[in-house]
Amino acid sequence: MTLKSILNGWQGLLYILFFTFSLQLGAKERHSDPDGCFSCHALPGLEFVDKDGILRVASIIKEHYYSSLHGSIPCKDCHRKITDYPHKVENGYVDCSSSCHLNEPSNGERFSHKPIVEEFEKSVHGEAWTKDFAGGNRLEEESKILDPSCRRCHVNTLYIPEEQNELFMESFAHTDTECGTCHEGDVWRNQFGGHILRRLIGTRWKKNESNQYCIDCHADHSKMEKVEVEDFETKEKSKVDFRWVRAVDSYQRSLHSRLLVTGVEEGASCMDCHSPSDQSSFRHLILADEDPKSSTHPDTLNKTCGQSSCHEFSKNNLNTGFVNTDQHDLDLVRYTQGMSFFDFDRLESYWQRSLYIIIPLLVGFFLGGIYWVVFQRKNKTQAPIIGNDHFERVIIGRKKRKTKPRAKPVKKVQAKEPDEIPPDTEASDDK
Amino acid sequence: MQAGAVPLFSQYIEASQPSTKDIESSRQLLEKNQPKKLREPLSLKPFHQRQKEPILDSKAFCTRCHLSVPHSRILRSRAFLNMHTQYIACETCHFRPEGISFNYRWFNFDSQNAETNIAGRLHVDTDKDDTTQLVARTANVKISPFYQGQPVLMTYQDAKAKEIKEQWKSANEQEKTKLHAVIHGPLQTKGPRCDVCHTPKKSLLNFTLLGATDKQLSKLQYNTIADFFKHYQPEGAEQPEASQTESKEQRIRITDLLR
Repeated sequence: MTLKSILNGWQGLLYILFFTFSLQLGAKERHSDPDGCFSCHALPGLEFVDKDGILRVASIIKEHYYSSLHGSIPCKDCHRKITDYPHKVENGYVDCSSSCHLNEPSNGERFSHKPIVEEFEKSVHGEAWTKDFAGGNRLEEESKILDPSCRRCHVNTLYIPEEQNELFMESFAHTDTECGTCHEGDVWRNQFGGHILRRLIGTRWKKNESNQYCIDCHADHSKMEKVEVEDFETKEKSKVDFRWVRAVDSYQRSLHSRLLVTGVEEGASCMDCHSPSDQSSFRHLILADEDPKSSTHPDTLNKTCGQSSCHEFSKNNLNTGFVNTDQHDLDLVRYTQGMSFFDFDRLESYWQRSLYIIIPLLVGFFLGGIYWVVFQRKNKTQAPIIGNDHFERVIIGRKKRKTKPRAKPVKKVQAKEPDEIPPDTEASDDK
Repeated sequence: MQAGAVPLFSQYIEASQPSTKDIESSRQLLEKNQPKKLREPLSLKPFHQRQKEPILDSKAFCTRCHLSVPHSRILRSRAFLNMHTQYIACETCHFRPEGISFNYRWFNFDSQNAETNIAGRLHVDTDKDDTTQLVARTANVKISPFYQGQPVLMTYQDAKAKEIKEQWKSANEQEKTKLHAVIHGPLQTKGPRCDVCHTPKKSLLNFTLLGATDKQLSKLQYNTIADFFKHYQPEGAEQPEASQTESKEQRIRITDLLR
């Protein structure tokens, strides 16, 4: 029987119908482990200690993965070259800019983090890794690379954070009624409902939580002291200064930070100033202050500060002076262990400069005072050079007064002891 | 364990007479393999959420020196073997003296006796509704050899174990080498192949006696991963360190799991 004869006969029709229906049925089920990776990786206890003494865990929590941000993506979309076992480390490398088999719901195109990676690469952190990620090279990255890679801040968290789950379920139950008023049909709601609701129930990270990612590195002074920054104009690299190293310390003493710590979300996070929310950016474009495109460049500060409802007035040119308030004021940085008064790096602080002037003067007065008490106090009466006696002698013409020698101290008469009081006096008192 | 009973493994150590070759082998091993120390967890977290790390405080005699995840040499099997250490005692694989047949049962390291509560102990299914996988992980109960109804293995609280500990503390390098050879004399470096247990025909372990359900028994006997490992050439007894062999390691396409 040839293919032609099959397709021409009634059997052909049956074959076509069978394959059409079976393919449709197959397409309905979405399976994010088509390569069977979880046959091994879901087993608990797949562990070994590598040559660096690091306990490596290859057991991935399957339930967590399926509920995670990447839960719909087959492993091989990211770990593309893995075909053999034992896996070669380099075959598992992940490139965050690659596209995956998931379609972006609004335009139906292949989803990719590429635009974010491209933006990130233009930022001050742009030398960080955005690809070649594998569990096995974390030590290499941690010990050699200062710039934060994608995985320094991002892990595969749950699609709906646990604390928002209840709210999400409650909202999702209403999609038929609320969303369904306009968006009729299950297709739309299945495709977009969860996606949109996830955003409506609140941000994934509170500002304090997003700050923590910055603080994890920037509060590590010894790590930050190793950082070299590129001059915006000359492109020359140089070591960062004291102010830069202590940026977290000064921020944490500011009102912006204190508000967030006390649970007031109106405070400003690191990202709010250094990578503000803007439709044209993915919040990964942190630039040097000197860069005119930077959100913290003096010329753009009024726009940056004006983004919040707190400082909208700064958009008015008359108020731009306000936004020049130093948000990383070294005056706020406390002296802590390892910091010395003689640390000239702090000279940028007005308080510090004042102290360098005031303290030597105070020391001078103090020593002078001691000198006077010890050596000068026994001398004759101190006569002023001008005024007083000088005035009387020169202006009025009075004769110079003879300085009288100091009167000898009068010998104190010792008080009589109570037993020396005459008895009759005591008796008279009794009366 | 009966009061005053001396575990068989302890008796074998007592009778161990290492040859010059064994001592030389021990010397080389001790020289080459300095005690491994676990590094503090890295600040850079793994991207995917992993299962919790293992309980490292074991009461087994072996783990006084070895880590509780002791296998690191053979790339392809190290993680799988370490997985087995959660519920299989070292002696089950590495102490198999010729001419002696053991029974394998659950042994409770806390009570130092056979574990009678065997329901749900087997750690087989990875489905999330299968809570049995957590039992073996959190309890200090492992499949261990028994001989004439008595446990074969030693715990670190055993008299012989304490004696060895004291000897090791005061020993010089030469004495340590000899002691190492004495302890390891009755043991096999290589454990059995996967299909010695994972087989429907005469498995080393009687899974039904160990509490397996029919479903678990089938999964254990016809195990996909154990079948996959059959495709590999036998491991060399003297496999060099994993780091040196990565490029030479035999690699097999994962799709062969389906063959």
